[in-house]
Order: sequence, then C-alpha cells, then structure tokens
Amino acid sequence: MALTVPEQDNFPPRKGKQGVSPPELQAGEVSVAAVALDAYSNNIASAGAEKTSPEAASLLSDDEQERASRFLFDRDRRRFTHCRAALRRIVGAYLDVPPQSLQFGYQGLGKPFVLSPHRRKLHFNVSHSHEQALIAVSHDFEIGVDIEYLARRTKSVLALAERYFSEAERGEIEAAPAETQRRLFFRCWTRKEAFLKATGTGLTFPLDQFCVSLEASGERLLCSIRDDTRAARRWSLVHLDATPGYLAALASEQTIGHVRQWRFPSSLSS
Amino acid sequence: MTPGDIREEIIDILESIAPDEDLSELQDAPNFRDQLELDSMDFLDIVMELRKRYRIQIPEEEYEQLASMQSTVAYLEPIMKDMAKAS
Repeated sequence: MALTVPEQDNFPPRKGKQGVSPPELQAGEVSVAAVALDAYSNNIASAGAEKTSPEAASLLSDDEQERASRFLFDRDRRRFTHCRAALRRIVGAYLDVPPQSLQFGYQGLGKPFVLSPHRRKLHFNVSHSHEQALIAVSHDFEIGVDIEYLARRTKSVLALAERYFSEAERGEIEAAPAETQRRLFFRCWTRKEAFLKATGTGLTFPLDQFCVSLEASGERLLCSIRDDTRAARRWSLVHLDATPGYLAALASEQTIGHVRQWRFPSSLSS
Repeated sequence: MTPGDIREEIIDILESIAPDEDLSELQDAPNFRDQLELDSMDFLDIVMELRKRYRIQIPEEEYEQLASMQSTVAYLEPIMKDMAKAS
C-alpha cells in the first residue's frame, strides 16, 4: 500500500453540480480529503462580513441548519457548516448527485451514514480538530478517521495516558524524552480514536483493551484487541500525513489497498 | 451537594477545559456536543476532573449518562448528594 498526497492544484475544482472533483477510487482504496474549515472566514476581505459562507449554508438540510444554530459560538457554527458542506460536496461527487439532495441517517452513537438509495454503496467518516477536517470515503468498507490539533487545549495528556492507555502504550510514552511525550500521546490517541470510529462503538470500548503501535508511520499499527494479536492483524490502521501541527490516522477492519490523500480546494471550503 | 451545586461544579470544570468561552447561555437539556465543540478528549478531561476533585469513578459503559447537563446532574446527584463542594 502507498500513500499519495497530491497538491491541491492536481485536483482543480470542477464546476459541475458538486463543484469538486475528488480522486477516482478503485476497489479497496480510500479517499481522504483535508478540509481547511476557516479558509472562507480567513479569506473574506471586509471586517464585519458574514464569516459563514452563505453558499455552504445553502447546501445543508433543514435539520443540519437547525443543528448549526444550536452551537453557542459563531466559530463552532461556522466550522460545522463548512465541514458539513464539504462532506456533502465530496459524497455528492462520488455518488454523482447534487450535494443538497443527500440524506444522512445516524447510528446509535451518532455516526452518520448515507440514507437515501444510490447506485453505488459508499461509506464515509469525518473528523475535525481546531480548523482542519478530514473526510474519508470508501466504496467497500466501514472506515474510521481521526485528526487532532497538537496545540489543543488538553493540558494533562500524561494523566489521560495514565488513566486510559494500555500498559505498553503508557510505558512507551512515559519513557520518552519530555519534549516528545505530547506528540507520542497524540499519535497514540489518533490511532485509538480512528479504530473506535471504525467500530462505531465510541468510548464504550475501553481504550486500554486494545493496543496500537507508536511507530512514526506504518499501515498495520493495531497490535492487539483484548490481547488477541490475530484479531488485530485483520485490521488496517494507517498513519496519515496531516497538515503541520496536526496528527491523523485511518482505520478499517478490511485491508486498505491505497489511501488517496488530497486537499479539498480552499475556494470551496465554504 | 444539591443539583444546583453539581451544575455549578460541572460549569466550573467546563470552564477549566475551555477557559476562553462564556458558558452562561449553555442549556441543560440539549447535549453538550450540540452546543459546544467538545470532543472525546474533552469528555475524558471532564471525567478525569470529576475523579480528581471528588474521587468519582465513572465506568465506560455509563459515559453516555454525561451527554447533557441535565443527564449529568441526574446521574451524579445520588453519588454527590452527601459530598461537600470542593473549594
């Protein structure tokens, strides 16, 4: 398996009904789009202008707009709206339908899926942290993706590791030089979170009951599930190249043949 | 602690996690995640803080009880009713 990280210009926006042209997916491949959620608000010139793109908001369903309106802070409302609009453009492009026509359902713990019937099956998963989102898409299998902002507000990462990580993970983080412990923690966290998101269980699956590798990169980074190394070998758990300042991972219970990482056009991050 | 004290304590913990945010308009019934950009790590921070301040251990299978202020206070009330507020 190999990763490709094309520059944004390799995927110029196509002004079709979706407005975006994501990479073609072959069997076993996963598309992972990096979306800059604040690109629109950072780019608008005049102070006091509406910082949420009206075009993005217009793609959302009534219930999504209502959900956006429930956020207490403009920043969270804006990022949710831009992320959901990007998701609709990408999923719409893969299914060849207008973004605003998509209907999403939600599993018990809130994981969204495409509700309406389409010609091709499609799985997706979304993660966002600070001003970056990753949107992962597969035609073939369930996936989980996670991205974390390294400078996020969580201060007590060692206390979290002590309480929640497996003994081996904890030991590796604690034995590392102080200046690398935080990075190792986030490497561990993103991999665990991607796995949990692929299973759809969320935090009800205790974090210390499966173990991930803290190697800098790799594709088989799940070491064991409840001490079962054979069960872990069925999984792909892949380190993703993320925007500087972030770490990310992708997981699937199936073998991921190839990850096509690409940047969602900032002109459309709206 | 009364339900009101518990609510105040949860607000205090949320403010310690997100010190720059004004939570005065936080509503009790909707989920925290529908109102704030709280993710799994923030959520575990809340659980850790409850443990640190009050030695409350919340098992993973009961985390869903902490989805909103209303459900959190209802879940913690029997556990915290005989406790004094941490200074």
